[in-house]
Amino acid sequence: MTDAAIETRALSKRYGSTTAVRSLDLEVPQGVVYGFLGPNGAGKTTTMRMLTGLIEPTEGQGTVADTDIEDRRALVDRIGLLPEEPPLYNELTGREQLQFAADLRNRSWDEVADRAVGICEALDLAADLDRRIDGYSKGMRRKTAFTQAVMHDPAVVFLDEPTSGLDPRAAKTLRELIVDLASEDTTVFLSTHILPVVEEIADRVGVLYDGRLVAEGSPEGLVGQTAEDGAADADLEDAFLELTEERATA
Amino acid sequence: MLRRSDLRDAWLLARVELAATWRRISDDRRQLAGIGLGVLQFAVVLPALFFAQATAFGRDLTGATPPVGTVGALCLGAAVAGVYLGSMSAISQNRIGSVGPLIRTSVPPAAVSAGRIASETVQGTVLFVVPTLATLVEIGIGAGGPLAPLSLGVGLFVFVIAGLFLGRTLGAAARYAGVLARLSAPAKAVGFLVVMVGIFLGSQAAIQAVLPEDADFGVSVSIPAFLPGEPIQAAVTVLLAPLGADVRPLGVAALAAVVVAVPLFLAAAVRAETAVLLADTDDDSTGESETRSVPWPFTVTPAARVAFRHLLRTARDPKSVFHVLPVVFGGLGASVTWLGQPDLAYTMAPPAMVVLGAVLAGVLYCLNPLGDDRDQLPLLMTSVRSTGVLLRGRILAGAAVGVVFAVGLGTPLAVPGNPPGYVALQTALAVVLVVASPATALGLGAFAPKFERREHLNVERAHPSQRATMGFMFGGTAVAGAGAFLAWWTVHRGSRPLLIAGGWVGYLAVVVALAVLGYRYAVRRFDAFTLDDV
Repeated sequence: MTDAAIETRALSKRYGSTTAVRSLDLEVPQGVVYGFLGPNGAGKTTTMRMLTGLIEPTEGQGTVADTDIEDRRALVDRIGLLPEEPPLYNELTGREQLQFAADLRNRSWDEVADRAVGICEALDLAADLDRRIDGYSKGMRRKTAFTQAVMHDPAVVFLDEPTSGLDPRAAKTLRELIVDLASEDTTVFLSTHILPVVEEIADRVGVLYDGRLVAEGSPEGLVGQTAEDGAADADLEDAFLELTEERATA
Repeated sequence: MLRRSDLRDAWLLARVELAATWRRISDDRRQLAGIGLGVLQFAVVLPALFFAQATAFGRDLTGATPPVGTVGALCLGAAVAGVYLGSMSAISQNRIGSVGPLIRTSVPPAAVSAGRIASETVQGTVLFVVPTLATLVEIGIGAGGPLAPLSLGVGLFVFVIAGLFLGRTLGAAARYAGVLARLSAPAKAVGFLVVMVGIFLGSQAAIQAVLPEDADFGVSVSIPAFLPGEPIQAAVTVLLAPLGADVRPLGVAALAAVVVAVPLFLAAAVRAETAVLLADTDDDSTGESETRSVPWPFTVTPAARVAFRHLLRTARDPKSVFHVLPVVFGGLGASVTWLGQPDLAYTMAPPAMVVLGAVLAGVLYCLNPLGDDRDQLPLLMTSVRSTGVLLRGRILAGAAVGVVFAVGLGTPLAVPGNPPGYVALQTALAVVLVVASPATALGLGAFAPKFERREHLNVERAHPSQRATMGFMFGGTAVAGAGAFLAWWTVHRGSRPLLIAGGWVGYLAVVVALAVLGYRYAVRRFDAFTLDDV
């Protein structure tokens, strides 16, 4: 294993006769935004769950921030996770939820409050922090869950569809926050179907198809590899469609 | 008014709901086995046990004087049971939230209401069909022909259906009133609890009034004067006319009124439920609530802070702990007995509070640890080094509630009439039990965690297993009750100190061992837990 923030070797996950992730080799450098792409059912969520210790791999191994992904006890200090469904308690207010998340990590609220409230202010959520979460919109829930995933300044952050449900202004702010995180040396593992977001902010991109990593590189590199006859107007969406179509028809 | 196309849509909806319900049941082997055992018990065991009474009743029906009073009581009982089932099924309609948007935009609301009434009426009554038919067959055997069970069956059917639709109307009206009143979640939960307790105590009072202490269940029961006995018994004379009962004009009018009431109640139920369906029922969240900082002494440890969040969430949405209702009703059952015997209440109330506090402490938050946090597992599992802090938080939250009953009520109630030594001993026992009980419950809950959401008592969530709840309730009552008895024996009959000391050592060893084992097992189990186990 190297000094990469995320590294896996032959990582696999099987459910009975179904293989969700096949022998995945990943190497994500520290302080980058890594766009993790793939069609529905490709194994992205399963991979993120293995990398965050939520499920155990069937085979292979991996490290996140120099910590074995099967050592959940050590892993929790190094990571933050925003899953697809925000893990929030409806009966709490936004502030209480963030305070609870800080307590769980054994951090005092005073220690993380400045950063947490700062993120909420940037996302235009601060004024609603003392309202109950069951009155929040989908976007507000997502902003709260994003804040609780990053407020403790983890080494690696896993974000599953972070801009889903956000209005254009909030989505833009969140993209900027993600870039800021990377500039602070935090590694951001970003899973999304919104390809322009990846194209805009990702330093590297991995494309998963049927549990295999079928392409990896910089967004420009992938576009260049797949663009027919060097078409000038090709983008990441074209590259993604090309890559996944090739496999589907193979 | 329902149109022909509404009836077609209602039938379609009812059919789909019944098929979906059956698929849910048949996909779950344990549920299927439970239903099989229930059917066996109701359709075979109970009819077999009461064969002699049923055949004797059949002979009475064809005797010289048909037992009009008894049949009247049965019809009234059928109507009351119908009202209960109907109102409960109308109140428990959580799934409407998930399917509402589809059906609201696909079929007329009245058709939706009619379809749901049809499917839920079938679901609510299907378990009673087989045992009722089996009992009627037995009555037919005693009567020597089909006329008696047929007459009785028709009467029961008319009364139970009228009751069902009346109950459905009342339940829907209650829901609609709740929507209009814009009640907060705690107020709704308290209202629900008051209604349930009222129904429980009312039914107990009615049973005691209808059934005198020396009642012979076979034949001699009649309806007391304060109930609408006369019209109902008169209506029964019409039903039993083929068996030789003297028909009275009042009876014809009364039975006609009941028959006419069936479609009227159904129309009212459809109307009331349609009003609920069209109302904006998404009113649980008030949207406004002040952030509460964690108060002392909950600030002392991380687990205590977790405990405070459990209590805060329960205070804001008490429905989330409605699985404790069996414990509440168990306590109410005992209270009803004591109401008639104040001396017993005086003696029993203090230790009963200790038992209640201990059982509540365990049942509240520890019988499905992490199961009821299903949606938040990704946060919890990626935030804590060990689930121990979460589990200790649950123990403390349960203990915080349990201690209110076990010490807060139990100790003051014990002061008059008991020596100070007993009061001190009971208080110390209460403190031990309210901590040991939730720790023990954790082990039980960790052994059989439930992650699947289901609707129970009008709440849709991952409830603790019913077997674990009932088992813990009875086991916890026995263990806590044994401690209370030991405390009483120590102070009031403490003539053999060595035996008493040995008893306490043994008792505390069992209680503490169960608690430690339960907690440690739960921590080991959940520390090794992954989302693959969900």
